[in-house]
Amino acid sequence: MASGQLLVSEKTAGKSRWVGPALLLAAGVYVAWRAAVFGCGTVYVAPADEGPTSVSAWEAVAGVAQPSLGRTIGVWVAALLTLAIFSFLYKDNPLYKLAEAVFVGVSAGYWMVVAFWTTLVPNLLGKLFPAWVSAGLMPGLSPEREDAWYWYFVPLVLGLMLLWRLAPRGAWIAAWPLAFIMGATAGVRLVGFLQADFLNQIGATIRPAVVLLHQADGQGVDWTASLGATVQALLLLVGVLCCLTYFFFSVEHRGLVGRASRLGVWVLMITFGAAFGYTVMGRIALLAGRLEFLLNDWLWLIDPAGLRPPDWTGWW
Amino acid sequence: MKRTIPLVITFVCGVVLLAAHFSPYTHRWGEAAMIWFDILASIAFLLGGGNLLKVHLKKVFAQQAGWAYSLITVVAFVVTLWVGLVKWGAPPAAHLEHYGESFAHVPLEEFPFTYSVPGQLPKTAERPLLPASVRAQLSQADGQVVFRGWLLPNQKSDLLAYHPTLAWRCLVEQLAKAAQPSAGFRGKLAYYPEPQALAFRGSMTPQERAELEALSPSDAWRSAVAALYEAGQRQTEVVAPTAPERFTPEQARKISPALDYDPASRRLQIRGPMSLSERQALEQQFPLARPKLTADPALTSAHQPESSTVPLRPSAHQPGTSIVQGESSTVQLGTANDQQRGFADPYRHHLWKALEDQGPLTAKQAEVFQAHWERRWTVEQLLEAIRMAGVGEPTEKTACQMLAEKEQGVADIQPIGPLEPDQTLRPEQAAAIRTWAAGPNLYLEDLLEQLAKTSGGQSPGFIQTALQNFFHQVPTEAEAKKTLCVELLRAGPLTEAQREFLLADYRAEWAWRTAVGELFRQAHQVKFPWSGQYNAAGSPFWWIYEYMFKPLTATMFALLAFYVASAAFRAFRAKNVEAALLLGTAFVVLLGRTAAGTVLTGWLPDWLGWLRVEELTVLIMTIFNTAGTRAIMIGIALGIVATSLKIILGMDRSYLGSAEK
Repeated sequence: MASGQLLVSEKTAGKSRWVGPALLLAAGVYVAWRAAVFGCGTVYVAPADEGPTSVSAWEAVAGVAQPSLGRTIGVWVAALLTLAIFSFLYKDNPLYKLAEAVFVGVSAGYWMVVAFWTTLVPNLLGKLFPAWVSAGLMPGLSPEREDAWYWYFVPLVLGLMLLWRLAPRGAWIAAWPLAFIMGATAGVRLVGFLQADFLNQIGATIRPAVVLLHQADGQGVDWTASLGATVQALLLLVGVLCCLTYFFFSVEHRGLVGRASRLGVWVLMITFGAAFGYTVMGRIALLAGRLEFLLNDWLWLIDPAGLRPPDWTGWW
Repeated sequence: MKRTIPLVITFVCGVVLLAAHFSPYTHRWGEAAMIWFDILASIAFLLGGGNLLKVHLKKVFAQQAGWAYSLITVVAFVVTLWVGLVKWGAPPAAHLEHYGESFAHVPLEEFPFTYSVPGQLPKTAERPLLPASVRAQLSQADGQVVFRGWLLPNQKSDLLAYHPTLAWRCLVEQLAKAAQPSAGFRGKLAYYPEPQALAFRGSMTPQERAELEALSPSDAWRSAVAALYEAGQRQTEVVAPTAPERFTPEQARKISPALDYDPASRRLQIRGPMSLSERQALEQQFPLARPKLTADPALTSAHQPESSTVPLRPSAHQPGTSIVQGESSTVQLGTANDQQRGFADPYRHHLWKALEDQGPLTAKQAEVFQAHWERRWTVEQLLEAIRMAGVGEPTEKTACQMLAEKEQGVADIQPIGPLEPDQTLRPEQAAAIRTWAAGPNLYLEDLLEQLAKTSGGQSPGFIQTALQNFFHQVPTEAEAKKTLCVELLRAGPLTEAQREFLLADYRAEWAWRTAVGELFRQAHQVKFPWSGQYNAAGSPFWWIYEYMFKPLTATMFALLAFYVASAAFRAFRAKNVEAALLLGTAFVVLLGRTAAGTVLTGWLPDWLGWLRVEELTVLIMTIFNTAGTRAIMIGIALGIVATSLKIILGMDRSYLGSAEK
């Protein structure tokens, strides 16, 4: 009996081994068929001063746009990378690892380029060698040096010291720029947080404790609306105080303090629940965006914005 | 020493930034420190990239497990970095290219013209240096302010903003008037100090060259003039596949004497560079979209004087022909069916008939056609735009005028002068506009010609400006027909003949504009090839961002949706009050942002309206969520203040990487 069960489960496992690849193959054939018949994923471009510009498929219908090989390949690359990342939902696999490796390399390169062109060129090279920078790299910058331009050698030297971390020896040299970064962060954060997240928040909590609202025609006080707004403001004040009581560990949470602290925990739980709800919504919006890209831009299965002739879109 | 200096740096930097916040005298220190911080943060990106290379290359050379993925990471990193740093494929920045001008290098010190006005440079403690745009050109000598070069509009603005006194601003106005090229070359000749270039707009004639060369014996000047002359003689040509019907060689020369056109070969030529206005004039050679004509008898009588017939092209169109440029025929108007559809306009009537003749149209397409026409411009809108343009505006006084008033003892000096008188459209001009709008082909130059006739010379400036501005937003008839085609196709199918009928003119227009654009680009002398944006659309760096970085980032975060949902499913159990509150709030917030939530509680009466899920969401967010978030923020702020103080005072040294605290 036991061996019979084993035999059956082995048979089932043997069959199910083929289900996944078969489904993948079917999906691949379907996509290839759509690409061959409808040209799905094609991006059309039209000539412009700044080079070919992407245009809607309607321009191709009108006969003024051409398919762009580079951008069409781009859409397919984006779609395949998206699917490769999603494949992690099944399990870790070489396709996911490949997409992950590309992601790490491209991200690092991207942020380096952004930092170079948006900060290093205008704020460092542009200050030290303005004539050279304005002649070629950024013609909009002033070619004239500022009066205290030589001070910018300090961040340059500190930056070079920071890069010393890559060297096998003398890592302590990087501690100087690191100390500058820590000092600057501490100095800015101390005042910034004290003002925006401490004083301003306390002020905003206390100030509207009693609210008087005027009627729409400006004649007299709207007592009903004022009562509602005052209750809301008081609830807010009590909520903040209770939450702060919970965070206050110098007094034992017993009696009145204990009850206030418990109320504070409830308010915090509501806050975490709302934060969780918003996080889920944000992620689902991103997921919807990716699915729309796959179904709309790549496979042309849907067309919510009417970017293509109706007979170009459909499941068959 | 290795530990003391970093501690001192941290202390000094922190204290300077704190002092910068509390004292206005040290405010600039704080700004400088923040710029340095940004620079170091950017260099930290370089450090990150270097570290990534170091780690992955080590793995590749050692052929450790997964080295192939490391190789992919390295390749992706290097390629992205390379194409981004060299701005590969990024076109030059359009706003720096000075289209229509040729440049020739003239060092500032060899520029032969200086201009001076009596006066002195202002001495100001707040701004010790002159504006950067004029610093190299402006000086002071013997009670005179001296300027080398010709003052550009942006330089004038910078100087006016430099010091607020009327005397200085009047001096700048005088200088701006004096430091200009001679009358014959104003608007043509300029000197840009930043690339130290003498610029000439358009193509220089031999006579202009001789006049310019005679201005100065300087070698640098004469060779620059010669170079500009040569650049202005360079011939560029393109062959246009189609051409506008009314475009002739005379029309081309009217736009610019440097332009030439051969109708037989459709060869379009230009001598020297092409300006943006010349390009725009060349592109605007097609009839404008026809307006939505109302059933006003005055309008229709302008076009159908005696009978109900109007001259129009044949209803059975051949593909590729134009409705506004074809042969005329006669079409009967005013059938009961047409009037029911509101076809008081003969052109509109004809367009519909022509479409119907070439294939079936659905009821929905008929509705779309009607809606399309309702969106077209109207004569009333145009007349209103002209009326608005004619309203007088206040005149602005010059600084010299105000200075004169001050010297005369005027106490209350106003920078605004009296209003200009209103200008209105005369009845015969309005009638000319109505007649033109009801005509067969709407060319703006025809309208300007008719208005000039009614005005007894040139049409008034405010009308010309209003017309240019108004029709800048109006498409051509071919563009409007292409839009109609798209709208009709969205509503139902069209036959090949119907599509061709609606699109042929648009295609022809596009081909002409593409040819003009090509001529414009070929005739242009690139001034700053490396000035473009590193992420310009179409460049390889943009491609990597658009098709790799963006989808990968979005998908990575989207993936979390599944894990969040899975974790919630497993972890959410309403075992106690706290867990029930968390679960309930998340449920209400999620439901409150969906249509289903609104429907589910929409039946609640008004007095219980606050219990509707969308209202409940607002309540939760404005009261309880705000209270909790504020308490957390206050706690975090106190924590950060304490930590920052410990770092600045050297009590927390963990960032130095030692066990010593």
